[in-house]
Amino acid sequence: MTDLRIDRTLENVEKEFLTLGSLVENILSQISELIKKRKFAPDSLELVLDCEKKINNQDRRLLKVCTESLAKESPFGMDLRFIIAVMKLSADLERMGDQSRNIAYLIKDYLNHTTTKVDQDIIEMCNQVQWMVRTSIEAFMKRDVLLAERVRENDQIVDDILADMRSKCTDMMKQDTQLVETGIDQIMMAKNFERIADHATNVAEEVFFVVRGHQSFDSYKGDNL
Amino acid sequence: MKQVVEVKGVSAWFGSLHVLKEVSFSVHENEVVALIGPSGCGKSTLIRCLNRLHEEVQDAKISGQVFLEGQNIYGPNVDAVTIRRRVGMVFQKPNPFPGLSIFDNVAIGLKLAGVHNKAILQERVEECLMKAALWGEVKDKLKNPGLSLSGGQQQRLCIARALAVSPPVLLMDEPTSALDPLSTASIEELIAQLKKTVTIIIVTHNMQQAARISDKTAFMLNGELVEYGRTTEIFTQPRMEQTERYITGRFG
Amino acid sequence: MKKPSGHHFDQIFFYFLRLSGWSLVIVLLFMMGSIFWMSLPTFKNSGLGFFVSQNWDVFKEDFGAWPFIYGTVVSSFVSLLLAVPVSIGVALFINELAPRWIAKPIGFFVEMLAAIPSIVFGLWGLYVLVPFLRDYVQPGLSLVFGWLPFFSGPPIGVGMMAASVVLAIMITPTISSICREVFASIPHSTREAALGLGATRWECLKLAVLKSSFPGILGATLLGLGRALGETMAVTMVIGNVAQVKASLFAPAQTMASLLANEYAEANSDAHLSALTAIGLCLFIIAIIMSLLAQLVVDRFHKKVHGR
Repeated sequence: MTDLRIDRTLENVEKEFLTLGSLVENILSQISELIKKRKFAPDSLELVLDCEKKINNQDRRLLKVCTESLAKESPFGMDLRFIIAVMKLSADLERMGDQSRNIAYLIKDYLNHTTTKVDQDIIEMCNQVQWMVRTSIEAFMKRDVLLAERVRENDQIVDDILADMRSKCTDMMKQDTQLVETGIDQIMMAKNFERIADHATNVAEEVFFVVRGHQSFDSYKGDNL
Repeated sequence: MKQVVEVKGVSAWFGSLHVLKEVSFSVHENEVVALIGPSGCGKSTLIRCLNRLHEEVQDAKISGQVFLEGQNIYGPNVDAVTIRRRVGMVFQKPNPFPGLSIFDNVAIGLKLAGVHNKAILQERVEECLMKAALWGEVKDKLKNPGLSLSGGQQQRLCIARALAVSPPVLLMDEPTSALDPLSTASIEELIAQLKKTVTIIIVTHNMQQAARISDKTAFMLNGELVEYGRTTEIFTQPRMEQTERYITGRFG
Repeated sequence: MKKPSGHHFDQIFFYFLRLSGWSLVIVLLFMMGSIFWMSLPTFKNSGLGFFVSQNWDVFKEDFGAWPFIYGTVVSSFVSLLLAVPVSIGVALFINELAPRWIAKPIGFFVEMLAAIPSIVFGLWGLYVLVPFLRDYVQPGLSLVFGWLPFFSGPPIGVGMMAASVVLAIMITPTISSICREVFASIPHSTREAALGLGATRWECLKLAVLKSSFPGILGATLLGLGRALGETMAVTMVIGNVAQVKASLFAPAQTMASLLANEYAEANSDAHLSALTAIGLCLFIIAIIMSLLAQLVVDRFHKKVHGR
């Protein structure tokens, strides 16, 4: 296509956004590894913290690039909505980093406990959340509303897993008071995962905003296309 | 809110060249409406149909209706000269009448309308120069030629001139495109004040300006009105793809 | 020959320019000087009384310029009186009012008038205009306005009126084409501004076109005047060639230019030649004064209209 200055500016914003997204996917992979392999090396926590710091830095950098792009280009229409959406989602991605860090701290203690049947649920949740984060970023980059809608719908699944885990853990803790610490750790991990899923849903919702200026698929569906 | 101008199915030609195609929209009292679009889209022709200036060009034709405060200005037995007194116009290049003083430039509209009472003229001239934010700068040199002022001042003089006959509607054809940024900013501020007493329709090729000063925006392309709506919507989420392409600079 | 380097060529070029500029000044000064020199004997003889004396006696060598100054000035001014309104009218008509298919041919014809040689105007004046004036116009004017000194006396055709009319026709293309340029140079938006304020067609022309064209129209007029002052052949053939000062426009007269045309060939005595040259000097001076006046006046009005 044409080599317009505004397009180059937008491509730059996309690049920085993608960098942030990759860092978030990276930190989630690290956590996923720890949970599945059940191995916590001496520097595992440090690696996670290091990644989280990178996420924070990239968030600040992305914000700066967006602000400068707005000042330079005075964009309108979809260009304007895109940059505003990126600024908003930068915060969501940064929060994902925070939540991942919280999970990392919890894993250390968690792995010292004996395994329970809820471990599978945690792994399942981790997989779901990884998929949601990866796919929501992909949907945003591609401006794919159908893909975004699938991510949105998936949030319900994660909520269900959390509800299920909560009741399982409650039963577990009632039956054996030795497992109370385990149960609490598991629920806290799950809660953090669920929050990451919420942020991924925010990413999906911004796709609608960028493409049509509406927040949700419902109002989008209501439009005459 | 009262409808001040209603354009119904207006089409216009220069000879066989079809420059406006069935344009319809309406403007309410104290609104600022911006007309945007690429060169040759018909926006300047359109405003000249609102004060019957279009027909002054040789071989120009027009069809359709334009209602000014409820009256069809193209109706039978309607005198173009009378209509033009009710619609003020400001042009791209400031054009005070050469040979007339600052005072006379503002007063001329009234004189043409038959007002010759010195006291009334004095009062109106001062009032209009104040409305145009020019009084302070020229009150001591009203006898100086209109052309002795700077570009931005000249344009404000032309605005005062247009306002002298108290028209309900003011048409502006790219009024700041020949001015420096400071003069442009002061005229934009002036428009924000003027809209309290006058309805303004402004043609501009500067989209940022349209976004800043107007309440509604009309996007035109090849003589057609493509989209008309609230300015904030047109510039953040337009409905038509052509509008989107134009405002994001991906046109052409 | 070696081509000069850029720098050398520049120098040669500028010398050439300087030479050209100065050469015209030198020619003018030389002309003035030689005419003045040749007319000196006349002034030695008659003094400044030369300008007001009405005598023109070749034998007695008593010469006076006044009838010819009078003839030149009156015929030129009357011709302006006739030509200026018509020229402005024609210019307005062609530029502002007429539809394109009428304006073009009319404009063309007006330009053609300018191309007609002076002698042809003279012939036409003598054989067509003069009888017409003598048989219809002047008797008519005599009937209605005969009580005015301007229209008194016998209607003989040749005379001040014929000369003025011919001059008027000759200078109209000049004045009108400059007026047309001046009118055309007014931006269209000035007219639109006038119309937009609710001016009628005529009010618009007055306001947007005429008011701001005043310096230009004045300049055009003065240019036409300059042409009229110096016009020789056409005037000579219809003015009657009588050295007299009469109030009536019917009366024959003589202009400085027509006098020179008539008598130069036959002037034998030095005194006669000197007198004629003195007349030439007169004309020269009047032309220069008009030119300077033109510049001053146009400049002043330009400032008044355009503010800077």
